Amino acid sequence: MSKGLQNPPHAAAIDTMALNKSLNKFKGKERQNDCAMDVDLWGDLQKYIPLEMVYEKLPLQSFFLLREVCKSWNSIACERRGFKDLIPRPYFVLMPFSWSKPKLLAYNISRGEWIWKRIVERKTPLKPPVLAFSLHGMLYSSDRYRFPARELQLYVMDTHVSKEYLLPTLPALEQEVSWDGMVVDTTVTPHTFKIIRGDVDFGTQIYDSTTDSWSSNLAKPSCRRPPHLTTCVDFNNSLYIRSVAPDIITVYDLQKAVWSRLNPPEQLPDARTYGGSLGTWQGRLFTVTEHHDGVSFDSISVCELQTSSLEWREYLRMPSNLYNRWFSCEDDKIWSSFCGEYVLMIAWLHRSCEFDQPKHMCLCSLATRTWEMFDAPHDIVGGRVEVSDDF
Amino acid sequence: MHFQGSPNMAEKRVKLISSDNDEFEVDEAVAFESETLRNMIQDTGTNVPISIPNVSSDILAKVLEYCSYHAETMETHDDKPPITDAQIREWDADFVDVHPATLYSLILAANYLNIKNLLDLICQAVANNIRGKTAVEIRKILHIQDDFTYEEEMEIRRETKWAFD
Repeated sequence: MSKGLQNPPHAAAIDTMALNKSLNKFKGKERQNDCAMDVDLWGDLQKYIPLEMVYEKLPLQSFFLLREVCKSWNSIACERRGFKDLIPRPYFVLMPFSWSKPKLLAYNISRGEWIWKRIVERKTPLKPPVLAFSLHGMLYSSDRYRFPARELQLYVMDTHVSKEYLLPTLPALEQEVSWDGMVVDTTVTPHTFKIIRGDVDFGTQIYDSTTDSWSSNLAKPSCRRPPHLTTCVDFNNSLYIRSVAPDIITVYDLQKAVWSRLNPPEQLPDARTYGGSLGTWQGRLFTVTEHHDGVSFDSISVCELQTSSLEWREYLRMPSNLYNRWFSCEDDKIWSSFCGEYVLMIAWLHRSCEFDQPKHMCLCSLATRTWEMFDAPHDIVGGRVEVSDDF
Repeated sequence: MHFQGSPNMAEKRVKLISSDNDEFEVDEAVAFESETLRNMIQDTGTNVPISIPNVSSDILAKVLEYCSYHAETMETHDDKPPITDAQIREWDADFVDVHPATLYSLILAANYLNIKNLLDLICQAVANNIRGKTAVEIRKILHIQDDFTYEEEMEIRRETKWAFD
């Protein structure tokens, strides 16, 4: 792998460990317990339970560091984080920062830092409010402003292998509102995918990358308002698309070919939350919402869909001290992104579309229910982001 | 000792006997938090006291406290607001905020009684206890064999070089 640009020195300041520790629920007793872990007692633990059960609950940095304890821990680390993969998990393709140059945020395992990786540049930069989103490292985008409109071009960039797919021309071109989503088969490399485009007038058009062709049916989404800043996810044979402005979730049943609506988690009053992304983990569907205690917003919640009642239930809430310190500023927008068990929360300062700056980032693990703060690796002064090709 | 896991009077009660011969009586729903007890009860019914020979009274009391609380969170009451996940997490965090020796006994009990959520909770607490330690310290505490060859260890150290700066 080629050595790219180095991060600017100040971007290396990561306060994950310090914050992490001070925010830890168990911190109060941690020091005290340190001295008290009796070797004679704990040495027998592995006779009763697999020690991996403890190991896999460590937060990201310790998890990485402590893989050198033994071969078994190391192999878990390699498997779960994909250390040997091109892009080790967790990684996030970040929209909507710097629309023309979407970037990938990943954890550099050799440096122990979060870094930006540039995604191969497109000839035509993306311009808001173009419909663009990513799923499993596959970035979907379109050139809405190309003329004549008949030539609307759709792209899918596979960030794992840096390959861009130019989709064939749409059989029918929509004029106004379409709900676009993607399903990805991650069991094959390179990943295969389907693009589902639900047009309120024409019906549904589906592109299948395995056949490189479009098919269509008459199912139409009922929502006539154009979606903005969407994320999507494939869950229980349905495609879920959430738009954050307006805040609407539409669902396309992949087997029955039917569109329906699903209420997002209730937000009172209208939330400023910008990034109620969707994500799946262990066959469960999650989304993010800003939590309101009746007087003001007081935290960010990860909510899980109860498949029986189709209602959202809070799964995890950001500790309030963390929210108040880093995420409560009203001038900031909040964005979120899922990668397996990890959810990235970002407070970002909206200046203009080209110079959006992520300010604070927080990584939450659905598995361990822990939160880790870190500074966004970026150059505030120049409004430019130094990126690296080095993992 | 009695645990009120549920106000439901129709609920069957289960008798449990700890290793030091103390008798505990709980609602069936509370005992059912444990897969092991669930299987035993389904085999033998609730008439016979169930003996738990490798869990002492103080630890069993603690485990049943956990089970009753979590069985109760599953109940819905018209007169009370439902217990939120945040409240449950807070309760759980307090629950495992104990001396490591107690934590150790709790792991063994949770494992034997097969209470998955409790086992997860305690493993998380143990992970929190060891997170600041070095690999050498952890190997020592948990009696883990260093099974890497010299070359393998050097390779991993190269990858984690930043950590030793």
